[in-house]
Amino acid sequence: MRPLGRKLLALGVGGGAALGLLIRLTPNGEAWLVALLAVSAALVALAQQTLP
Amino acid sequence: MHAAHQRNQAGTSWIAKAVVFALAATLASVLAGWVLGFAGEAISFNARVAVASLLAVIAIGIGALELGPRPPRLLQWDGETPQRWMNAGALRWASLNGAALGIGATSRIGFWLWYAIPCSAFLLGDPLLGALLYGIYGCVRGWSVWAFLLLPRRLGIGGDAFGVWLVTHGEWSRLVAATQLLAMGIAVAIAIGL
Repeated sequence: MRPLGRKLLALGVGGGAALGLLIRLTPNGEAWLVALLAVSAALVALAQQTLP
Repeated sequence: MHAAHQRNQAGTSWIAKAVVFALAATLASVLAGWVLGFAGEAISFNARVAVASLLAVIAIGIGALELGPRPPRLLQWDGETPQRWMNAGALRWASLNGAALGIGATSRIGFWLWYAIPCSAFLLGDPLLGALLYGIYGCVRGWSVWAFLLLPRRLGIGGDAFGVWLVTHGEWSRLVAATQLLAMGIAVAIAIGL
């Protein structure tokens, strides 16, 4: 795996774990989950602008 | 005769086409999300949690593989929207194209992360949340066309050069989307699955 891939893997694992705990342990966890999904939706829409 | 006349695209301002395109993308995605959320409502909560947990594990695996040297092949309809829509008239083309891209499923998807949108809209089991989630996707995809129309002018570069710049950064987009997919899979697994 390339060094950048390793860094992004660590970022994804760490960030995902932190977000998962935030969703699970906070009273408004569902709102955090919806926010995470909303960010994913916006991100993929932007990423698709780079498609040929 | 000019190609634009042949394809019935001339005589309509780019602003009108861009507005119709963006509105169609937003409306189609909101409707798609509402339908998926409504359909998901019919499934029991426990079944939705079980499926979401399984999909979270799959997302973790695919996200991790995508960050490696050999990303898994994406399941998609690898093509553009039909060219024949160009003959239907400028505003009709803009609305059809906008609706198709706002939903996203019938043309090139490009990223595994896309699958999170319909799956989430369905598994949330709430038409309003489904419409909100899918609507955000369609809204961003539809209205970002303004960036393509206005940014090159603002930056003083040609539209073609801007398009080429975007396409050459496709690998970056793939890595960012893969990281988000991985993080989302882990977050969902911890939040509802483990």
